[in-house]
Amino acid sequence: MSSPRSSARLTRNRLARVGFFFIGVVMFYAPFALLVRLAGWLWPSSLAGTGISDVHTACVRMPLGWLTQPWMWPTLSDNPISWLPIVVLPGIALVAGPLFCGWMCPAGAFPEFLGRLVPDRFKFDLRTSVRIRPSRYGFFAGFLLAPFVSSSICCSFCNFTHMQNIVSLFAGDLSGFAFLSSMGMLAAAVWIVPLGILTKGGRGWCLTLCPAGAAMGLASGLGQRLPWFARVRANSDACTSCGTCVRECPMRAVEPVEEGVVIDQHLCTSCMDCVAGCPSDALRYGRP
Amino acid sequence: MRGRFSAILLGVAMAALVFALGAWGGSVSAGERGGFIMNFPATGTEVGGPSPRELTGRISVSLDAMGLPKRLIQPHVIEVASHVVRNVGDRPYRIRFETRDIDVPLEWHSRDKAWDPGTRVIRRDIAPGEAVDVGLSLTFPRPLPTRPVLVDGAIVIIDDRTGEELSVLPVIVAQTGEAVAGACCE
Repeated sequence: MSSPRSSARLTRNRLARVGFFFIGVVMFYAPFALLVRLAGWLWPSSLAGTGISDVHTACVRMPLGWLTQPWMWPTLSDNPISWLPIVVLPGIALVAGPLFCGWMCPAGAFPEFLGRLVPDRFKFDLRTSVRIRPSRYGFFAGFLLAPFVSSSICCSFCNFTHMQNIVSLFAGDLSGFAFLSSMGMLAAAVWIVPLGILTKGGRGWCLTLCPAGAAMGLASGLGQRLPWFARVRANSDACTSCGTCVRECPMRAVEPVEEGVVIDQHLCTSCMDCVAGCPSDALRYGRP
Repeated sequence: MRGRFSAILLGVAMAALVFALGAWGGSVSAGERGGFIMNFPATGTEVGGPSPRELTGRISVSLDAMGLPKRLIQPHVIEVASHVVRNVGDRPYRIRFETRDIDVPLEWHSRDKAWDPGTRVIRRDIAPGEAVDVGLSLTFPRPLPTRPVLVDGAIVIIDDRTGEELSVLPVIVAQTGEAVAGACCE
């Protein structure tokens, strides 16, 4: 059971995350897109310099798909901001866990926080329903290979586009809804409903269908083997097996075992909800 | 061992799901959205087509391929759009977009910062080899007209400085694939 102190800490952590997600909106999404504007100022002849500043210019999906498409490599080299999802974000994930997913990605946070309005009894638990890791990396492999059989889903099955449309809507711009495609509608429905508000934690899309999340999860999984990198870590001696961390983890990365809990670093986004919510301080974020 | 096998099987199934989704998306997209590439200055099949590997010299949308979600929610709006409108010439151009014989309400859009929606001009020089993006949404009356070919027109790129026509890409929107090919309904 959680204590008043840990409950307050968890609430503070969530509020801090909401704050960071708004920073994510300001950094990546039109009408703000400050990071894209900065890239446009630094590299005026690149896409960030000539194109509209919105989430598509700093897309964290397309460059991953381009990696397996040699005909797109010139575009990668011409646009330094394309290296964000290939080098910068996985690099951060390797060293400190996928902090972008847990703290800065509004497209991941939106269904997570929206899902808090739906009682848990209406939700299913992905962790107990399906083996998440093979699903996630299988989908990622398909994402990388699909362009070879002309069936890329990179842009057509994208939740970031819908998040941009939602942000634009609040800014009074409805143009994102002027044309709707079947794939786009399917992606929006899957992102928000079955893999959003009806999934415990609200992060079903992140766990299974997000290529950027998979790339960062892979980097984080690799980094866990290296002793000097920070991760959320469990101390089984202090654990009372109360189940708070298992319940509160949006990514379903905490698994109960006989001697406490284990954290799947391929899934954990270092959001710290478990660390904040643990009443016995059995979880911490740091080096081993 | 059995666990590892089932994990691999699940991974392969998810990869197959991507291919299946992509194949479905591709097939319904032919009835919802005319994605294209366009070159300028160019003539004949070099003008463009559905993709760099398919320079057919025209773009077409056959509404019978439209997916069920689109058919239910927004069947009367289709999009014709390109990320690759490329200057294949040897000098920079400032270009303007026009349509020809497209008599349904339409709306142009571009992600280029220099795009002027009022004049449909990209107000900067596009260097040789450089590409820009452009798209237009076509809104048909509801219910859709019953004639076999709804649009038989073209997208035209014009040199904004000289008025010279640089490239003309025919656009056909029809009820069926046969009508696109001109093989029925005459």
